[in-house]
Amino acid sequence: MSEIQRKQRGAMVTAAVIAAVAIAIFSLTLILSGK
Amino acid sequence: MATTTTDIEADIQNHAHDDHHHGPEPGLMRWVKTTNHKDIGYLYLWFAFIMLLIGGAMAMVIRAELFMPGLQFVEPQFFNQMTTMHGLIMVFGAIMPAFVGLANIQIPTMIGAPDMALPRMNNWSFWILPFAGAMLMSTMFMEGGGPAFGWTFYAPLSTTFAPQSTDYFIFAIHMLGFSSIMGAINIIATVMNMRASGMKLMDMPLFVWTWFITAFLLIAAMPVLAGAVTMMLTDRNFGTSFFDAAGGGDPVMFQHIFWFFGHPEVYIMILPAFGIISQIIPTFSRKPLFGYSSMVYATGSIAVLSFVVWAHHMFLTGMPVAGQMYFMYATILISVPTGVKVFNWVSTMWRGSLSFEIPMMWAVAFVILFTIGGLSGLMLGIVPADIQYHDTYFVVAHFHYVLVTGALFSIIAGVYYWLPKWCGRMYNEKLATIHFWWAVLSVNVLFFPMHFLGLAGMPRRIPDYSLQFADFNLIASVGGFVFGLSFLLLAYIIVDCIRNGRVVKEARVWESAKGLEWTLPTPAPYHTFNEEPPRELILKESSHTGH
Repeated sequence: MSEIQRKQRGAMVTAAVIAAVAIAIFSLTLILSGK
Repeated sequence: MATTTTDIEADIQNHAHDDHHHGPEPGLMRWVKTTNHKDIGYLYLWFAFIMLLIGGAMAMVIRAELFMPGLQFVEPQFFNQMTTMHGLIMVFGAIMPAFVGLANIQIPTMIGAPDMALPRMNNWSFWILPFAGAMLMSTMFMEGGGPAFGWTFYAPLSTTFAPQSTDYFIFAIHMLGFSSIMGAINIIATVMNMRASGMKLMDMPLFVWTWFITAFLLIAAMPVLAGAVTMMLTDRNFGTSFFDAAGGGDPVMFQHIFWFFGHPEVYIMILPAFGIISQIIPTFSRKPLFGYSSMVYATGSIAVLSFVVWAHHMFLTGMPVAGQMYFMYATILISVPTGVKVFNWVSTMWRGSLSFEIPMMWAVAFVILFTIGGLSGLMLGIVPADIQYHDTYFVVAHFHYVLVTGALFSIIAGVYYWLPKWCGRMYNEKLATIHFWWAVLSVNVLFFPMHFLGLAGMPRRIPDYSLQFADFNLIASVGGFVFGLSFLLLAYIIVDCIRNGRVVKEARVWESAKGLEWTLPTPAPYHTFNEEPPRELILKESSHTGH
């Protein structure tokens, strides 16, 4: 695996985690507002 | 292939296959299909500039109407649409995309990365924007007109009493938010994963640091905005009552949610500005940046504090005194890290070998004028004073000093600083000097009298006013027209530079500039840093480890 490939694989993981956080915040906004 | 080849390598291989010079694809499709960070950055910047002109034209309508007391040119409803669309277009269409554009072009070259981490998503992040912007502006041509409830779109004005076009406005905001979130994900992943292995976090240039922190603000704030407009959508169309008191909801809750997004949004628009200024001032002071690590920590502190002060926008909605006290003190606390930054910029200049090239003039103007905006912000943060100033032109003066002479000036400074590196040509410095003085003088004629108007009690978002406000409004309008015209000169300077500017060949366009981007040939090649820069070079080019 090349250096760039290795870095990009890590970047995909980072992106997935950050996207999950964003979705969680969006969901929390709706859930907490509906209480 | 698709499962084993990464985006960047696929891109490089495609270019190598189709074009033996590793250059861009010829023709207009280059701009549609590009995954190159520089191309996408330029697209962002041109889009932002076009939106700036459109939003600026709306500001001219506002200032024309306010030139004299009485109703002159437009109906009050249309005036409200102008103030609303002006704010939305400038925030979401001009300032934010311009900073993302600068991030796209600069961050990979500043951290020794070949491109952004997710280049195809980068293309998508940009190309959502023109459609979202077009949809937002199309609402003005729909039955009932466009949004007229202010850029803060408070319920129930934006729910029960809004025109039908508001659903398109909601969709446009969703798309703009989606674009911002994808852009932020890309920046975080690029900084964390694509950085040259010899560059530690505390070696990163300040522009990269401020954008890295800004990206986290975007990730935390934009989904809240998406939630707010989603609830607006369901309140309007699906019978929910999130913000409808008649159904058990709470319109004040909308304000809490909006400002939980809205206040960090302010810092999303100013932290990258701090980064740009922190790059420019050391270059033209010929000194390392004073207090690099305190700059990083101050940026982080501002980011954290920005999430715990939102209700200072809502002192008049009614809240317990303890709540008022908390939000007042927390707000005033932000002046500490902000003061650290201003102190560090001044200390960098102190006893430096200063020269005042065009970017430096804009940077100095930024430090002075942004500080005026910061000071009026402090005044607004004090509860008993805010009760007087709330919803007056004092607030308009405050946030225009922060966003125009702050954020926008830093973008102009950044463009003047990096443009020769991008296109390999130098702009006409005489014209740029005229542009600087033209803009700096007129912007103060435009916005400074608004302080007095606000203190005298003139409300914002009103197309007519009492006679006692006439003189200052006339002065502000004249300043507004002159300032607005200065952007036509800026457009000419940039186009003239790209087409006819003096050719620049030195890698280091400004002789004392530090940073990896200045080690690249001028103009910067289409693909850069396919090989990692060594740590020795990174340390040598660090702007804070010595000149």
